[in-house]
Amino acid sequence: MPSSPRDAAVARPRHRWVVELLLVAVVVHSVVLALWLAPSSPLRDAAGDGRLASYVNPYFQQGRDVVGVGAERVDVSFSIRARVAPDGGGRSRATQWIDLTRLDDKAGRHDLTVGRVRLIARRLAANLDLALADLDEAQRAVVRGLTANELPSVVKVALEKAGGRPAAVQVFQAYDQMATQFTSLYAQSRWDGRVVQVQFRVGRRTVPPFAERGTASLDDVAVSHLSFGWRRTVRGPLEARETFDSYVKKR
Amino acid sequence: MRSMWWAFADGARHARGRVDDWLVGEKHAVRAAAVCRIGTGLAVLGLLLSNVSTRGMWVGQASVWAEPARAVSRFPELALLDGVSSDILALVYLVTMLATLAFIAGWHAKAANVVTFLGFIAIVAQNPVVSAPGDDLIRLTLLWMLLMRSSDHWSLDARRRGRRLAAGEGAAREEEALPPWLSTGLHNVGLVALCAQTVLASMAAGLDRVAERPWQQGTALYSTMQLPEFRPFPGLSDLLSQSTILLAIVTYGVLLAQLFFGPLLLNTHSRRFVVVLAVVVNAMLAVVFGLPWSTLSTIAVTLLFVSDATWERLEDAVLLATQPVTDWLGDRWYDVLDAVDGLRYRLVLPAVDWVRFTVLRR
Repeated sequence: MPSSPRDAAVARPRHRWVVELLLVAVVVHSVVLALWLAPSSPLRDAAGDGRLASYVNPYFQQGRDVVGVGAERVDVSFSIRARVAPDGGGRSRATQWIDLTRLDDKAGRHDLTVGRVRLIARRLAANLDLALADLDEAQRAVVRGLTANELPSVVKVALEKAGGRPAAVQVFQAYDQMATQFTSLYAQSRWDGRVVQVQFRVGRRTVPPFAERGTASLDDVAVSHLSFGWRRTVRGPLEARETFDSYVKKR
Repeated sequence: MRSMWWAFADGARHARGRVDDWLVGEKHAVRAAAVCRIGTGLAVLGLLLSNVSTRGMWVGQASVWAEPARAVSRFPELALLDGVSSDILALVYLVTMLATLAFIAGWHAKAANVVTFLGFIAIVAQNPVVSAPGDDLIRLTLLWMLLMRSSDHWSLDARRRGRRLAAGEGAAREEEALPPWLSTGLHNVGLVALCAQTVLASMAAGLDRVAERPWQQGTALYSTMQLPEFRPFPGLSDLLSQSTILLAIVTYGVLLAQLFFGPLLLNTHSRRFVVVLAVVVNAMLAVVFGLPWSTLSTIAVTLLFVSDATWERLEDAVLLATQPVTDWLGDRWYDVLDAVDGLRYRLVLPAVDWVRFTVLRR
């Protein structure tokens, strides 16, 4: 330890300003982060959501749910079925619905280290549910009337014409596309024969309030299903189909 | 006026001097940084291991359906696994796991940190649909640890350094790459950034939750415990959620550990309380809600706030308690070495002699 201020000045390195500058950068960074994480306020609004997001993304990307667990109330499920034609030719027939989230829940019971693949069906359902909620009633009517023969570009125009925000349409179509591809790959591995068309549906129910815990449980709540129309099967790359084959057969 | 200016300038110079002394004088929280390294590394390794058998479905070719979500991600590291075959994916996955193992053991920790950071983003960000909020904390911790010296203690690097110094040799070339004051300064700046990040993340979560009525009433986690996704052990979830008292304790424990995490760090006694509370709460969340890896990474950064003196005392206590076991293991190790030596003399050397005298002589 230097004994006097003069000794201290001698002991301190000349280029220490580099470290001082870094410390200032860290302080400024932390202030920006605090604004990003803070609840809505005039200060945060002045900084602007877009400006803060452009700084935070991608490496400092984070939300208010980084630590701990939140209060979740909605249980969603994701079920699929397909129209399958026999390999030798003939009429296609619709299969029974299978609830993928229920299979995931069963596999995850008493397992602390559940793999991320067990989250796919539930996340697709949750995101589709949110995306659909972001559309307005007229757009939801368009979604309900979709058929397998309609191209995404045509659907986009129809949805935008029905009103609402274009961004909401984009998000819905992205999740619709993801769900269609995932369902197609799953269905091709799940059912023998040629999968012609696929369909998925999202189930939704809410946990009864805490005050009713003695009389009602989640199992007592009826699931409200929302079926999306039939979609044309997307075959997908060979390696993807093989991976799905081995995964689905193991379940 | 002039004298006031001089007094202000003198005060500013003095304050700058104190900041400089703290920044470049010595490395702070080196043992806590080592614990954070080990904890974060274990969280990454655990996540990778628990998904290793389904990696193809998660982030490989079979995740082709997630392309629209991937397209909006801005991580350049995604290109590392963009459309690669399952063999390349297996290779990147294996390299990342080995780097994480090296990071945990503190073997060339800085290089291992870089590879773990890049590999973690390349793999985990590949499928944004199934990402978890805890992934962000792991990424941020790995990022700030790039500046820190996390292998000065409890690492193979530290052991190697100790041996070199004992043999009268200098430090390895990679350790002398930066002048000591800069290496110290970078470590301390990284430490400040990671601590600030941890406090901000905790307080933001706490502020967000305290505004909601169920959190105020101590019943917020009831609904989460009913969801199949968050109840790996239904009996345990029911036990906690059916008891109003237990549920309130758990809910308020989570809220308190987050909302008051920052302010309670300011006093030594309250800091001990909040760190212990946060560790206990996160361990409980890991088991009850089935979130082991994200909670482990939270525990790792929380332990940064335990002082080096405490870690030293803990180390001494552990060494003292485990001494009989380590002595016994040490003796057995010598027995193993003797046995291996015996085998060498009885089997290997006669075989070598036989080859030399019979085969090679011809």
